[in-house]
Amino acid sequence: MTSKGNDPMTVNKDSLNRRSLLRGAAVVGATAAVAAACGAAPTSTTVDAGSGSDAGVNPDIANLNALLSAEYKAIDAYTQGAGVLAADSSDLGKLVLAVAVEFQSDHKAHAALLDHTITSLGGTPTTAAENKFTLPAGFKASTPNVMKLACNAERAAAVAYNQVLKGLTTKNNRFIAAAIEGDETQHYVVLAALIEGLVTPTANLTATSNADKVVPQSYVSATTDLGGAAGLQAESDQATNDMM
Amino acid sequence: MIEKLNHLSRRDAVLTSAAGLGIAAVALTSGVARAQSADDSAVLKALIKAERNAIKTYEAGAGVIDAAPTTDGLNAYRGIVKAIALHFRAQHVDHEAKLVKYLTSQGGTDDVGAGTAQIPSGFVANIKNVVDLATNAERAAAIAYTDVQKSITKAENAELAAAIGSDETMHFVVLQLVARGFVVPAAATQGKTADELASAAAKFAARSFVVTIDGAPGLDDPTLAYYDVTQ
Repeated sequence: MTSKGNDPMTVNKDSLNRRSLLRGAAVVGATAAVAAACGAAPTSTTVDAGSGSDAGVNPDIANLNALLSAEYKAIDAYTQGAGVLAADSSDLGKLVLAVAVEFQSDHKAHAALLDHTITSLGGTPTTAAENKFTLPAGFKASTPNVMKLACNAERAAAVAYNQVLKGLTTKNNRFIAAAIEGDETQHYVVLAALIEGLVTPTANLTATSNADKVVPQSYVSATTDLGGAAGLQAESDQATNDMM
Repeated sequence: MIEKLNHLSRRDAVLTSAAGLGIAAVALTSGVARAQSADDSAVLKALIKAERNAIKTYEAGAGVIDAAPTTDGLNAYRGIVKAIALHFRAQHVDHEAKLVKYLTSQGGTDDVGAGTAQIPSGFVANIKNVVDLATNAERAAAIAYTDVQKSITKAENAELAAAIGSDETMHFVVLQLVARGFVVPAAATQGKTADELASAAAKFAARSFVVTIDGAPGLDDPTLAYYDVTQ
């Protein structure tokens, strides 16, 4: 098993814009959920098809572009959140930052696969520059709030993937969506467990040890043959004959 | 129960190489599903069987937890581990019910029979191994549910499989964090019973489905509040 990569993250929280938040946050087809997460009234469940102008060529291109848009916004959201986390010198703050970097890396992998898939279908992928995340109005910067923001976004993203999946017309595209969706539910539940204080990290999990193994792969099942990467097949089974 | 678990045949272990829901993967990669591609009944039946096996496996695991001696390394956490096992079991019951409903509403017949606990050869009965067993089973299930997207024909069945599969990935990741020693349950859970901790356990994977399925709420449930980030 290899590490999923640790790209440095930078801060960018200048462009607060409530309208653009409602348009995208982390999601497609779940705008209402995202709005609710941020305290705004749900306004739309319309799928944001991104900027691709050729959505009519293949019926899946628009939906995949919408998912790609959401991934880019999630990547940017983690970048912005990292700026808050970097100011927290506590062990928990450092751990959360390390885990956030890993989750962001997963989203980068998802974006790359979606970009590849859209291109393969003859579409024009939307770009990172076109899809920046806007922090919710009233957001108060703190480590717990960054965790909550990410948790909300991951949950909404998982819902969106499930909703979009139903409308995809090819089995391989549904497979890709499902392989990503299950990764995002893992992000969601890990963050929720930490926020709720349901679990306590041990000495085996620190900012410099095993953060990349919290959610061990970017996909539930391997997407390698479709241009992606390894799935949970790459993980070994736990031994069930330990004597304790 | 422990004696039973320790005497399962090698054949059973081979059948369930990945443990737990591995039988779904076996069925789905054997060509059974592809051979009946005109409808999704073979896939749905394989998933129903897998869910029934998971239910029985969790029941067996709960029995192991109950029977573990106080010298067990995870004795302090027996209550929360059992509560989580029962919560995940209940979600598998929900999954099985919806799969059966989808199968029968599409003209299929539920003839797959009862499930059986899937315990690997050499399993040693203690609480840690129950966590490990469940981790393996949920990982296999998550992969299987994702892979069936390549076989499923109907959009509503694809939606259902994704809504269940992504719940089972949540089960996997929670369990593997404990199995790999990355986290321990909150200290406040120590020494409490599973009954006392049922509501806490229910927060691990708060709904049985990712999206609302046939009236059963998913993570899109508006009564499941999003976190406030303004305080």
